[in-house]
Amino acid sequence: MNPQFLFILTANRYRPLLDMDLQMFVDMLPNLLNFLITAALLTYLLYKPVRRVLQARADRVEGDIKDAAQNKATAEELKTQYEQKVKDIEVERNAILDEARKQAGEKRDQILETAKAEAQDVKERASRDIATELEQTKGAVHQAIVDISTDMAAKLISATIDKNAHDKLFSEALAELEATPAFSKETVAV
Amino acid sequence: MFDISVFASFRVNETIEFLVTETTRNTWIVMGLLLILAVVVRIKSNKWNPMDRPTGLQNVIEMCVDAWGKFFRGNSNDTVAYFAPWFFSLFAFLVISNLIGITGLRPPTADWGMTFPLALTTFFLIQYAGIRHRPKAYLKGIFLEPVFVFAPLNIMGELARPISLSFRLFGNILGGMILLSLLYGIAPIIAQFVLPVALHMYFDLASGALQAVIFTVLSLTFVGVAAES
Repeated sequence: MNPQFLFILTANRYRPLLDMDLQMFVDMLPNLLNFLITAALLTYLLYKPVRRVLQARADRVEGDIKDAAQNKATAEELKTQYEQKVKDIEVERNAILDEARKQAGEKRDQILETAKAEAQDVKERASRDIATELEQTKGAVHQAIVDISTDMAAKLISATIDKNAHDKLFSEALAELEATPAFSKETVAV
Repeated sequence: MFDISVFASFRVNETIEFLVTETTRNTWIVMGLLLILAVVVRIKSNKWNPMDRPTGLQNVIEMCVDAWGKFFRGNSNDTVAYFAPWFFSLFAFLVISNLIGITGLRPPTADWGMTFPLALTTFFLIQYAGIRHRPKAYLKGIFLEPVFVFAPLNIMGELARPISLSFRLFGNILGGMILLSLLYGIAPIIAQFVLPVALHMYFDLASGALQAVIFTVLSLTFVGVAAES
């Protein structure tokens, strides 16, 4: 366990372990100096550089935390704005829908009114046409009946009546005709 | 048997000579270990990006420095936060000094000539912190409290702090070293293969680390109290 191999130094004498004399305190000076040098170098070579790294990291982390908090606040504000916008949109949508429903209702009523009016027109026109057609048909049928009757009467008369009967009938018809105001002798004379 | 080896001496005058003792040499070894680590960290730290995930040496060093910051704040106060690097260096120096005994070297802290200067620095830091941050209250606490006749006792109490600190550390480390030396010196050869493991674990690792913590915690607590009672 002899550590002398570390230095080529051989003890030439021994100093008493706890001899409270001046030499004891003189021996303290190099020990104190050694420690002061060690403390100074450790401070400037080890402690402060490492502390700087730690401080830089702490500052960065603190900055990140602040950024995160700020981002969170911004996000919450945006979320609030978004929710408000969604609510506004909902209200606006409902208003638009209500307006659209109202306009659609009015349009429907208007269309219905127009349709009813047109239908009424069509119906009236059709009724008039039918009545006209009916009148025309009635006239045509009446004329046809008259023509047929006239033809039948002429054929019957020509087949059955003699000269005396013919004259008698002609005279009676002439008399009837003359009896009517339109064909009276005074009117004809005028 | 436990006197301190002297390897070289430089005489200044009839009464004063500077000695290169076993303590001095082992302090250089401790300094060398710490400074190699510090230089490596300094060189590597130029490439460390705070945004990257730390790995390897960076991870260990950052963990130590960060843990030290929390430890310091837990045992002192923010008023003397500027002393954190100093006490970090003190703690690192003491830990390595105490643990170096496990290699068979004599711990530098097993010499009162090493522990007393360290405690003396604490003493001056206490006075500096007290006078800088609350001069009136601090000086009043020493000279006028509870009444002025107690001033000598208060002054003795202040002066006793470095002596108490230094002898606590020195005694504990020296005691462990003496026990292990006795074991290696007088125990049968067979006992030197198993028993020392447990003793080294306690006296060098556990006790060494514990004494470093105690010295540092007491120092920074005294400084913190002096600055902000």
